[in-house]
Amino acid sequence: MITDSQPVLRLDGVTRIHGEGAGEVHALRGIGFVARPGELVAVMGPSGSGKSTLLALAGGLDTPTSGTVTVEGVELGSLNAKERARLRRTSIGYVFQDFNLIPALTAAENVALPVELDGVRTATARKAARAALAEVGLEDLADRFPDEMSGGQQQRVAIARAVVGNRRLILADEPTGALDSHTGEEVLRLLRARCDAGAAGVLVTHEARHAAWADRVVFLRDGVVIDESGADAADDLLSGKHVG
Amino acid sequence: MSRWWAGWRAALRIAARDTRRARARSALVLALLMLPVVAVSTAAVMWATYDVASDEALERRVGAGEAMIRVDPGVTRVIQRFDPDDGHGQETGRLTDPTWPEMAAALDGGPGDRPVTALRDGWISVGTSLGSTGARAIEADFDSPLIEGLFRVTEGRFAATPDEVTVNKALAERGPTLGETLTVTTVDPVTDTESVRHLEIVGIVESTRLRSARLALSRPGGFGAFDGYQHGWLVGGDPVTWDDVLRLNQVGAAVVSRSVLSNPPGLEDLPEEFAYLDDYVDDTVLIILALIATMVLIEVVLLAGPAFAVGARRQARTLALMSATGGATPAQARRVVLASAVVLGVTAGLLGTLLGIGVAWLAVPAVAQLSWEYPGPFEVPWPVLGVVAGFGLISALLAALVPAWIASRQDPVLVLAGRRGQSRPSIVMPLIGVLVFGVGVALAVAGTRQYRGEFLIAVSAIVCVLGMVMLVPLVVSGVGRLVRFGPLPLRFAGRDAARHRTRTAPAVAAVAATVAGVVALGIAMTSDAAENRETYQPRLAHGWGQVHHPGDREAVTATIRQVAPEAEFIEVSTAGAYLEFHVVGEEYPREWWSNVLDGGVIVADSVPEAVPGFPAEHRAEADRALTAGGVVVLDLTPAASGRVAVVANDWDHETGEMLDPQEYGEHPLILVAGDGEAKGPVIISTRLAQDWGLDTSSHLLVDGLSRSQAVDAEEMLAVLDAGLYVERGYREDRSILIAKLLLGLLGGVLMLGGTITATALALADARPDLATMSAVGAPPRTRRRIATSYAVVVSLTGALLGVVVGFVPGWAISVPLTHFGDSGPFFEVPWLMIGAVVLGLPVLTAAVIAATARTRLPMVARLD
Repeated sequence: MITDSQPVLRLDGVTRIHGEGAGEVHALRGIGFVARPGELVAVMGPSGSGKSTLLALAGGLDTPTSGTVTVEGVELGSLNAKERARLRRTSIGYVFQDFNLIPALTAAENVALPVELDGVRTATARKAARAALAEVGLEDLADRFPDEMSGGQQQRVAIARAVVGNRRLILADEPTGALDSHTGEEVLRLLRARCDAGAAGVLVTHEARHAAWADRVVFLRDGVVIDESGADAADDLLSGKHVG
Repeated sequence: MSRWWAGWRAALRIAARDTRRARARSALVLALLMLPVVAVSTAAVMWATYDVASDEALERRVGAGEAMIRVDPGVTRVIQRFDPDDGHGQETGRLTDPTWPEMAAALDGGPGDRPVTALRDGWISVGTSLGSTGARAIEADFDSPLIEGLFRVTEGRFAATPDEVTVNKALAERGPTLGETLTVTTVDPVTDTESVRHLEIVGIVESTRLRSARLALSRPGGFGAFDGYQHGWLVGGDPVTWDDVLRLNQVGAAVVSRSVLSNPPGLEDLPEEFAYLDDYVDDTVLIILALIATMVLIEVVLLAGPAFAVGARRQARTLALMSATGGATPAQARRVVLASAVVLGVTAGLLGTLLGIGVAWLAVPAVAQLSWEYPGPFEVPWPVLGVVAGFGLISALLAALVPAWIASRQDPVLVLAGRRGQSRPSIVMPLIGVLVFGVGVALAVAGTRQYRGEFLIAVSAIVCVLGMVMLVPLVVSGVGRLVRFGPLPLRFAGRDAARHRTRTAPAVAAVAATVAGVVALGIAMTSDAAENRETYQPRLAHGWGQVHHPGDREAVTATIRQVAPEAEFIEVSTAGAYLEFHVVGEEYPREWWSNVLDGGVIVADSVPEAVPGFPAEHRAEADRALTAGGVVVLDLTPAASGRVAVVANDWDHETGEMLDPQEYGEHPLILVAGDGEAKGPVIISTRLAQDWGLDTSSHLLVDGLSRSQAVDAEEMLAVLDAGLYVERGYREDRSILIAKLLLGLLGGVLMLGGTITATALALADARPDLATMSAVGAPPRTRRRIATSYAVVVSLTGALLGVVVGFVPGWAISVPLTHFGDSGPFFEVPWLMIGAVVLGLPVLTAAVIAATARTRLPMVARLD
């Protein structure tokens, strides 16, 4: 389900170099990337290909050495740290491989976090959090601490946190890596549903069957996009037919 | 042996690596452990260096001789400690000057061939550029080889004739110097006549022992007859034994003997009077030192505890892996954590001791500038320092004890799965805590009911603090629940604090222990001040002044009028007789004690204005009673009847024998209830005093001096040898205020230290959580807000707990401190200070943290 509307995320000629001199590492080399509303894009590639760097740049957690990153029409380079943080609270949702829930906060509080950080009253934020938890089927566990939940439950809470407050860009970094295959499918179904509802999703993964949930697959190697195609081609890409 | 070592070898290796890797945390722990070690070892080295009783300082006291024999004027017998400067007592009655043959007879049984040189030591008055000043004067034969080591010529030479003199730098700075003439005024103690001599200054000579005292040295006869002089003989020859010293004591000499001080005999050889005192002093000092050491140990352990807790938790994975893959036992896991305490404790002990020696080495010359005495050669008391260094190791081991125990009990499966169940706080520990706290309270109560109960109360303070320490984890997890409805940063900080109790609890306890100490001492000081205020007995009505030793009264009044033309003068007489007042119908005589006019019975026909606390409405009635031959007294207690029988109990002032009591008959008695706490005095009419034949003396009183006038008048009266006391009511001792400020400061520093430690460790621990927050869009200030909230949680919880705990010993110590006979006990709480500690210090701490915390959130996308 690809639309031609204005992209939610756009990377133009983005280069990211870590370190200096002899220790210089080119994580990304002048790549372009687009994610539109309603679209789930899978980013694949071997370790060190620049997948996570791409995600960090898209979320404004890192800044490119050159090139521009635009989220919902706003160029991240023009924002200061505070404004970038605001954008993350209101427009971007993150899902990590290790869930990264804050152990000192309950499920509901974890989900409410971005809303609450945005200055919304605690009660209102909790209400929104409960709605988001209901969406992922965890309304009953709202008052549990992360320690008291299974991995799958924790990741569903993380997804709820990523979508709460109607955010339009969801960045997922190997969200199923720490889960068994059944629970992983469950999590991807949630992600897919969210994109079908209008959000743009970027899914970093190295499993082809997960990429199958995506509308498009972007393949990275050594910091360069080496192929961009529909999901069908993912298996071919992985088997190396197109490499070179 | 090898097996025992093998068990520790791996643990120590891991610990050493870990210590190097976590540099910031290790430095923090090292600093905390080292501070007391540095302070105590500096003090120990300074003390050893300044200890003049030690034998290396002997040369400065007996020169090249064997002993210094000194006889104070008029002394017939002496009892002394091994070093008479540590304490000696004397009997007086000698009418003639002591002589060497007299001493030689006591020392050697007659004049022998022992080398000897005589010194005379006393006080003279010397002319200075401004007027005159006092100086210590010594006459001696400076050619004698025995004197070598007592003095040091810095310029010129020693006096060679009685017309020459040398002075030290301290005196030269005040008056004439090298090449000039020193004008010396001496008073002949027998004839009481003054004589003036002019001596030529031929050298600047310093005593090797006394630094800042003004000193003049001349040949025998140089200063003429001088006041209060001490005769001394520096003797050489055979060593002077303790038996020799005891014989010399019998002829009035105090002896500093080289052989006795180098090799003191057993304590049992001391005169009985000193033996008893020695025991008492030693016990008291030891108990106080033990208590202080315990408190410092508790504080250090609590401050260093959080760092070990964090370290142990960081090692959790290593330990779980060791257990899962290497089959490590809980004891081995415990050893890994304890090993880091060994590494850090030993390092802190060694480094701290060396640093202490260094600080002392730098400080000795600086302190010498302020001291009246020259320090001895630099001395390092190694055995003492060994114990001090051990203190570092012990505190480290104690601080690591709980984290080690917890590390040994963790479930490796849960840890490796990355899930540590939030263990509920054990209920056993707080229960024991309540029990221990109860014992502390009981000890405090017992201390208030016992003679010398102060020690028991000090012990109770420590017991209370220990009980509290056991309660803190429960309180902290309570706080974690309490913050549920707070704003996000506070909620996070409170919950996180509760989740990591092993880290938070010691920090909170450290703050609480500090606050408890501050509150306890604060209550003690305030109650003491309250007692002083409540029991204050004014000597005169407010604003009135009394001139002491007025001498020439016209000159005195004229002098005061120069600064205060409006001042009014009155003279009031008192009788110095010892009178007993028996109220008719009462069994015992009344004790009418007063502070007014030096405690005498006031003789006046109307109540003098200067009598404090006398109500104006009773004045007319009292005056009538005085005219009618009555006795007027300020007293609140009603009398059994309106009459009083007066009896004089006096003694013959020539022979000292008691005279037969003399009865002065019954007289009408008027008791007047005074304003406030004013008590006494007794007032009788002049006619009554004449009838009884009492000797009276007159006091010159003055009214109407402002504070500044009083200060000026006092200075001018000093010229006339008169003094002035002006009654201004009770005024709090400045030193109490300063002590309170210092206490607050110390409390603040410790509180800040504890809170900053805990907050820094918590923030380092919370790094992944902060990164997550950043990823979900937390603004940069979030980190600062969390840091501040953390500081508030730790310091406020600690402060509140500390106040509660501090009240127990505070209340208890106020009892023995302010309870004497019928008066007291007084109990006053320094609310302002407590308010400052409970609210002010946490706010300050939070402000410091808020100002210094980084705002930048960690920007990491992948967080492992």
